[in-house]
Amino acid sequence: MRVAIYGKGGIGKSTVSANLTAALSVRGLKVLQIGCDPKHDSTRLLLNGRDPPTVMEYIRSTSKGERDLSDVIVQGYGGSLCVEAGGPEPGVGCAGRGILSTFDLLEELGVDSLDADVTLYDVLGDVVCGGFAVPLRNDYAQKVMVVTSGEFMSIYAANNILRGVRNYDPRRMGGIIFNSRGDDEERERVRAFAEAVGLPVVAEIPRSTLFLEAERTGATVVELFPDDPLSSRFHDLANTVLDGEVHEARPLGDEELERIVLGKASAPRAEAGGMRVENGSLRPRTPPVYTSRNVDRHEVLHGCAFTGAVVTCMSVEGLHTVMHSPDSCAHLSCQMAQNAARRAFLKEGVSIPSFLEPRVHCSSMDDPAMVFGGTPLLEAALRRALAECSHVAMVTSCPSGIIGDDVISLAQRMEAEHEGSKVITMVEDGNVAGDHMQGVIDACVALADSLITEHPPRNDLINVVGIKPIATNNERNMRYLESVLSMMGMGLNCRFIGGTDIDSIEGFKKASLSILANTDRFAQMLASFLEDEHGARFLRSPLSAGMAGTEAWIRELALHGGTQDADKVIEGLRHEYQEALGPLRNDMEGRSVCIISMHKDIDWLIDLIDDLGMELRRAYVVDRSDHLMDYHVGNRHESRLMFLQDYVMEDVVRSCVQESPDILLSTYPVDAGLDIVQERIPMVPDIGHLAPLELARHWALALRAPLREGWRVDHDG
Amino acid sequence: MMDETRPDGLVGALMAFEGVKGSITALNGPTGCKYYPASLSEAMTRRGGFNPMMHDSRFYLGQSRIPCTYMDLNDYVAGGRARMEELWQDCQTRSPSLLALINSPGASLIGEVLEFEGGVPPTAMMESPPPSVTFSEGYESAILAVLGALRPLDASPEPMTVNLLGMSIADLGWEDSLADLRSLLEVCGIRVLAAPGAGCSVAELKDSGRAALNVMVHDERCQRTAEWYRINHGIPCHRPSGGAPLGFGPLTEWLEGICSLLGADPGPGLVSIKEARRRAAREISRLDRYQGLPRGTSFSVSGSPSLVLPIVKTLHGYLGMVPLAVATSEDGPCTEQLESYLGDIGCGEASTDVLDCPADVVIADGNTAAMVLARGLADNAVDIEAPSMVQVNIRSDPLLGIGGTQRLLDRCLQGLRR
Ligand code: SF4
Repeated sequence: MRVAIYGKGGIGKSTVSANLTAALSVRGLKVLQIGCDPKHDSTRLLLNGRDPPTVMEYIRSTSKGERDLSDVIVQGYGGSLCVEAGGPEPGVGCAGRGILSTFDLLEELGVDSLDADVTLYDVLGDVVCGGFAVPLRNDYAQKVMVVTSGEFMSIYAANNILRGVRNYDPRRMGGIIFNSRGDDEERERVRAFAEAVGLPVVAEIPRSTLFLEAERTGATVVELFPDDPLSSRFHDLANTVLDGEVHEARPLGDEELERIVLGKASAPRAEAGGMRVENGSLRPRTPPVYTSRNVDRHEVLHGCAFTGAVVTCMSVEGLHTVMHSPDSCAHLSCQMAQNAARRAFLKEGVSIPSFLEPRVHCSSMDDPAMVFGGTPLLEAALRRALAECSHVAMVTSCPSGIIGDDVISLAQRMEAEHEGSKVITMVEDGNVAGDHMQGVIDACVALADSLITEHPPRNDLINVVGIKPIATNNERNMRYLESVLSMMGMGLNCRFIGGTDIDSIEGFKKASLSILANTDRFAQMLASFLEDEHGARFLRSPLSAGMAGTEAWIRELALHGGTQDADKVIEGLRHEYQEALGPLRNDMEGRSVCIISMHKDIDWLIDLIDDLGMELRRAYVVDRSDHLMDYHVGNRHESRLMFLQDYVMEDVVRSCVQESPDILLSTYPVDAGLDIVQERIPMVPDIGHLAPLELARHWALALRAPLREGWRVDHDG
Repeated sequence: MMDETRPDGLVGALMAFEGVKGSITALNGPTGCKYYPASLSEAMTRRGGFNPMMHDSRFYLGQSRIPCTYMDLNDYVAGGRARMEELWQDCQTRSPSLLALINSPGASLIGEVLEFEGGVPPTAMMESPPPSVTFSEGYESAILAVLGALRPLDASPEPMTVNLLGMSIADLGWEDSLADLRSLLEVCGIRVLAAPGAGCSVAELKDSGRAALNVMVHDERCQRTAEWYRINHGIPCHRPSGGAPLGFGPLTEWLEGICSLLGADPGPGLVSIKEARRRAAREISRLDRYQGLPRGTSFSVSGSPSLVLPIVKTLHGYLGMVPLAVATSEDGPCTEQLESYLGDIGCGEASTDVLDCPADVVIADGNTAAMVLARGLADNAVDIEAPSMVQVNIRSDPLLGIGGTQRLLDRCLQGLRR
């Protein structure tokens, strides 16, 4: 028989539990009492007032291979077996997680082999979060008893416990144990509550000085005053526990509870319903000003802000990044960055030093950190980072947010201790701040705010803003930009942020002008931020693929700061473009094409199709929440595009197939059959006047290939 | 020993679940924990990658593997049970051979329960994957959850059969390695019943209870599994002392050990190894005669101890190369042997930082190897752990067995210069 005794803290449930265990033990039953309250005083009265070792301390201090069940079980009165889960000090860590870990460990060490006749879980019922609800799970308590006094908060907690039970197998309620405080009206309140929820009051424990006397000697009333009527109450309760019926948990709504118990509406408001009444450790957040699309529209979050922020910080040379997280989060973030670096290096021969030599440190939050708080591990990681570098970014993960580690004070203390250091704190709390893109935005904002300093602005320098840190064509694009800038007598100042270093962010204001790397929401958010907070000025035209887009930003740049004649530069570029276009046009003229794009900004692609003399039959731009669709691009070709918000992809593809185009261009491969040549629209297109022609060159070659290559015959999926 | 860039226990657990043929691994957690492991699973099992135009269903989010409940702040506060139940139901309709349910670190912290009433496929669960543990620890916990859910047959042992333990779909060339080892054992009359975690089916896993012997391939990943089989099915286990079957010496030792325990004749397998040795010797002798290579060239190596030990022994003892940096990703039964071998050959002081040690060849996971090349610390790299340095493997490319040994030798010797 497994029984859980729940009750609000301080209500006397441990006294009731210990006396109940004593009553069961004296009849020769083997009773295992597991105290599930961080206060770890559940079994003291069975142990002559001694404090047994807690399981959580044991987990913290004993390595896996050395653990043994006998180390955490202490024999108490009447042969009872006593276990205390333990847990953190109030205000740190996660006590619920401690209960989870305790149950896992006991199971792992073979607690079942003890063959207890009765297992009694004594559980704190104020907080019925997932951890404290473990004993309610179907394979643990077969019967649940609730201890309450007549005080409203105690009954309120009792009602919450019923909500918890209802979330599992609800037919397990053994009844209410009324622990009287001596208030005259309380019996009536408990009775009214019991009646309303359809449960019997299975015991009434009166207020008595015998409890105090027994407690002073570290014993139970059952042990010290075996013949007193008070002891009989526990023996009767033991009978009910063993043989009594079970009832269904039928909790009351908050208003009903107030009405029935108080007869008025003055009780505290209930928090979120069900089991999750407390996760208060998640920091209250002010909504971010510069948001990703997912966050702005409350969509499914794609990726987590943690990885977005980490990857962005990793891309800054001279900055060390501390991840306050378990290793898994660190690994996922580092992989993302390193895979991009490996691809860039192996495919393009480009070395991205910041990613290839990651300067990262992880606090490696482990089980004990989840229970007792992770700041000691974070402090160690910060110290490691600060020993190597004066500038450190620190990013927090989901677990850090859930257990509510006070990372900000720690960062301030570390900064104070390390003269001249900067700890740039990004409290992302995993995906609590938002999706991957939100993390990238947050990191850019935090780095800018911490690093940018005043400098006299120069007209011959320009910043580029909105670079995607892990795009593999960054280096190629930047080389192109620099070559055009040098034709204009200008230079590139800061790459914000990707392949950049601390000095260059600090010197952001050395350039009087900035240009967007593209038109997406991310770049536009950064532009708004830099305009609002740092007085940046942007060209209206972003960097772009294709001749028209390139011409636009060059002309604008010439007006603002370029020292060379834009016409001359553009003429040179256009000449190159026409030269390269000619032979391709011979191949492609008259060919038909359909488009299914997840990017809105495809003017460059339509330009290319027109320049090649191709026939555009259909062009769909489809919306998807992890693509950056809600930016306001003034498409020059808007009338030729169909924007689809709600769509079925199969229908979109079918509609293109019906047009029988020579080529279907799409952001990802689609199921369009084998009679149409499919080509990709790059996720992050190369910039520059010649870049689209590279694609066209590939189209021309693909059209010369057979539609059904031999390998397809052998492919089974 | 854990460094931030190495796969950890959560990835280990997810890959172990994904290593059951026809299974679905459902993650109760945010998409942040899903995307990379799902893409790793897709890559290692040669499925297509991220494509929101083809796999755009609610829980799969553009990928073909590891559906998830896309938890967010609201779920952390109010619990994510309802959506997990919907995902669970979605999985039921797809008739997986096994359903694996696992909580993300955040979901486990708020105590999300993964148990559901009913359901057709056998279900393995990990409600509290331990945070910040090694790949091996997470992998093995998941394997044990799978075995617990499937309950292999309790039948009398079938002579001349083995299970290969500790292999994973996260290993480079796992399919080809398995085929290589399988055929080597087969010529000796030994049949492989199952390789838990390396793409074997539920039927094979159920059958695994009848094996006459368990054989460790990567011993840091299967100590508890071997014990589980011993207690529940009385299957003894062989742990070859040389680590994974890679390199002619360790491979021979591995095969002879198994054959002697099963009473099989290793002869035919040894003939195959001998043929491969002869061919290798012919090539190496050319290098030796014309360039005095590979004797005296250097290497640095990083990986799991069961791989690093046979690599060090082979490159040093067989090729005459010298280890300048030796790093292991975690501790395992081979760690001690590795240390004593290095001591015996006078390399006990070898560096443990392959990223800071020039050598002729670097042998490591693809990312580390690329970093070493990019830093100009080595001219030649051999990838032995994921991610791979190549995208395509038309030819069979095993990491272990005879083929794996040939691969290691080919790739190490290819770029050597004097
Ligand atoms: S979603 Fe949370 S738990 Fe998952 S990787 Fe991101 S920070 Fe870590």
